[in-house]
Amino acid sequence: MKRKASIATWPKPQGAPHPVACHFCDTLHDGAAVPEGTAARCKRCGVLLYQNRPASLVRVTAFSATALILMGIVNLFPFLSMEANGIRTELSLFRAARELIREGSPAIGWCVAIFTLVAPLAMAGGMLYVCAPLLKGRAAPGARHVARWLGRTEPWNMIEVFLLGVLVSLMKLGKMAELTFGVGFWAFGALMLCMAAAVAGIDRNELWDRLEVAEE
Amino acid sequence: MVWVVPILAVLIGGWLIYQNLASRGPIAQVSFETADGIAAGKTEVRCRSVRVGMVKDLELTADLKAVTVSIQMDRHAAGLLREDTRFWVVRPRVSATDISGLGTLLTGAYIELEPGNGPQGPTSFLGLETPPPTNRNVPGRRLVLTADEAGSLLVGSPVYFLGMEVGRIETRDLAPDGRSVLYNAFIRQEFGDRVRENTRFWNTSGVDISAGATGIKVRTPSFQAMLAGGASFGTPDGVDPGKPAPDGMSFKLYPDEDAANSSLFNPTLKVLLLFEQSVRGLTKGAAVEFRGIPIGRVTNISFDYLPSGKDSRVPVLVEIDPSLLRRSLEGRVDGTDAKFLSTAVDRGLRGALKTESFITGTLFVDLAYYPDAAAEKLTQYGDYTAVPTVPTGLEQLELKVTTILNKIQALPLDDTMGKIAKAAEEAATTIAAARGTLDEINTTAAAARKMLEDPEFRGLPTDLRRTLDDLQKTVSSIGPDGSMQGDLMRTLDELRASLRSIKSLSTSIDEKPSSLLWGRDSSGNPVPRAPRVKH
Amino acid sequence: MTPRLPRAIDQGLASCHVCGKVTPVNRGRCPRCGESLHLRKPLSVQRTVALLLAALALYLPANMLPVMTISELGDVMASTILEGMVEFWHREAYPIAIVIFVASIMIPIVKIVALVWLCAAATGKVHPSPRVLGRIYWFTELLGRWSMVDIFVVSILVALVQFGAYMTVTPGPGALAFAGVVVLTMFAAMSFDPRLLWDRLEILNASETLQPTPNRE
Repeated sequence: MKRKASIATWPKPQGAPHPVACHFCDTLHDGAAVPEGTAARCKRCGVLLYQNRPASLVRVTAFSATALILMGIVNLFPFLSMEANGIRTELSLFRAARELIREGSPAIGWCVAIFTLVAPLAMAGGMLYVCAPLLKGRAAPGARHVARWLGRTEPWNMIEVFLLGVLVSLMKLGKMAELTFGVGFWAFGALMLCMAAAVAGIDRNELWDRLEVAEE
Repeated sequence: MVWVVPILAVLIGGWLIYQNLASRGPIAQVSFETADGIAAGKTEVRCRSVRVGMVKDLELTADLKAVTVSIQMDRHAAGLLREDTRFWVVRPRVSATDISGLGTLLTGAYIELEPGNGPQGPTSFLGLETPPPTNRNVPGRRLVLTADEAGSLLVGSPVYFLGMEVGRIETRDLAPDGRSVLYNAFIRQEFGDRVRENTRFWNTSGVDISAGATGIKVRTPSFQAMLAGGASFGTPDGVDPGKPAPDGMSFKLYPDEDAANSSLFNPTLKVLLLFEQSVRGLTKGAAVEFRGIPIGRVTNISFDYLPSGKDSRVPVLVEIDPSLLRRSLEGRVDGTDAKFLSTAVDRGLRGALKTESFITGTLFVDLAYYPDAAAEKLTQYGDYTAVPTVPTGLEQLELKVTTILNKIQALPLDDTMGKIAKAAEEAATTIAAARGTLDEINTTAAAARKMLEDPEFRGLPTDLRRTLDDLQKTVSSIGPDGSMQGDLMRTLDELRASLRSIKSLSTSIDEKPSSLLWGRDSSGNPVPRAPRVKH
Repeated sequence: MTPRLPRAIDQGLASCHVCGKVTPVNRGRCPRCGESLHLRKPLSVQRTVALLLAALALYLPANMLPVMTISELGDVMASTILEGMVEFWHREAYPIAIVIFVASIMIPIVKIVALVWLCAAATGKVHPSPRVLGRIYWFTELLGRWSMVDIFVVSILVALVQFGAYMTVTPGPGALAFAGVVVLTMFAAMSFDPRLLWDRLEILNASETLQPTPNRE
């Protein structure tokens, strides 16, 4: 469902184009539309202002839906299992966080829970909630609030960091025991890619324009 | 195009979930007394170290006396749930005979499953609290051992053959009649054929000390057998082992190796022996020997075997192997055991009690041929035939002494004593009379002197001579030639003769002390070689 | 001479930091997304500095206290981040040691230093090129989250290595402090308004060229 390369193919609110200020140097620009696949940069500091990402809505919806499914898989199936001397221990994200919270270190448990479970869930769920109805041109109730919170949650999504942590742990444990990757691990890798793809697909301009239009 | 991605994710996710659910087998409920070491979601169920399930849930039963463990079986293991499938918890166990499951100190306990052979179907099981000693499916021979007493043989004790451990005792129970102990022994497959029909089993636990005529013998088994008890088996020398024993065959467990080795006989004939003397020192199980070869044992000593109360002999019931006895008779004797016994008794077969050991004072029964024995016949008392008995060496000595004493008693000592007393009395009176007579002689002499001066003296010497003659006669009858003394001498002679015969007896005892035991006629029994088993 | 480009602040316009819509600041809230409007992030430098100080305060215990305790057959060994890194080095797992060093030790320090420098630049204490500062700011924002890797390693090890008496890992107080450091520096970076740097440049230019400052409305 790839859209043909064109300029400003999404519905825009009245009075377009609207001015855009650089969030870095505060220079005012006129916010003209740019062709698909290109980006507008600040005249003064060169930082990215806005882009026109192709099929952004579709991409966001698809990838965030996938991300949600993958999150289900990640938490239902074992992530990593370790066998040493005949003893087997299994790691699953949800259970690990829960046990950390219950026994010993609640703070770290909550950190893990928020950064690898809550934040991605909120993001993917939020994206889906906002973008899916927009495909039909409608705005979900409270979509603006959700979209607002999306922006705030974004920096707290640390799935990639967790994956690196897994790799480091593998190096640490690999010598003393046998490690087997469960379904959850591969699902987690896929989740990381999906989230990245979903976030990369967000075209802030398009999203807000569409929202505005949908709610008018 | 990009919608392929979520669709793919849904498909993969769905397939994974389906696969997970499909790989689940049935849920089994096992009840244990305690859930010690079992944790829901963590404890595995294994069969021969292969995982077949996982504990899903733990719950106290309604009466709060047991724990129901819900196990999620894997699909491929569903067929293991059969009627006599057994479950037990493998956790560290330390006891005198068994140290097992220590690995679980580090790895955590797990539940072991042993599939049964019954039909499939049940999902509710009663878990075992201790692991069964041998996996039921391990190939090997399973035998039953019967012992009179449990002793130190425990469940789990090893079974040895030629010093090597080849199996173990699996269970120990009281026999249904409550008179013996039954053991189930398991012998490993590769040694199963060593157990033959004529194999003997004996208890090798503990230290075996026996004292006999040859001295004191101490026999110790392996240290483990001393601690944990053990049983051993083997075939005694000179006995044909026979065919390999089938599963389930029953064997007697002898208290020690000697008892096993000496049990070469197959006692089939029960015979009653009635002893006139005391049977103190004779116990049940005491050996019955013939010429030093064990042919049987004492089964019971009881007055019940005698019908009436008038007979004061002690009945001893023995069981013997007649085949061993038959060989002893010259010329083959065919026919029934009864006929053979009758012939043997005619030829002098008698039973006797002999001392087995000085230290313990135990007796045993000895069957032998006494050619000089008084002719007797077999008698029947109730169900049993009684073989006549003869007194033993000690009794014979008793008899002899009694005879001597009787003889001594028969001597007319009283009469002789009486005569001596009378004679002494008479002597006293005579002496008194003699004294009187002398006094009279004095007076007479005085008077005689007077008389000598008296003209009447001339007529006295003839009177005096006459009186002296009488006196001489009297004195001479007391003297050595006198009749009184002759009687006395004769009596003393007889006494001397009796004392001489006593003296000869004591001399013979001095010279040959064993004659006190075996009597002069020792019936030719050889001195037994092997020390006797003490009972 | 480069033509002076218009700034939103000069016209009293605020750009919503959530949705990007440009509206006059006196509207109070963004008409599109409802977020409160301000010309610059309020008390940006103060907040940033405060958060940085807090992060610094936690940084010392984070590195001195053990992040995890490994008990192996009764032998208890507590290790800090540094010790873990050294162990990797000894085991010749050089890449991992470098990763840990960079992520857990270098990045937080670099981030704090960078932000301090940025604050100094924003208040006029130092005068580096804004472009450089811009790069630095972008860099710190990007890398900030990767310091969490150590916390995740600890949590993974704790979850996996639960072998009873044989080997068990438990989290230590250092882990909590370290998580605090990362979170605080992230908040600090979020509180910082990079536009202040350009404002500073503007003031400098104005003072250099002696041009009258435009009216603020």
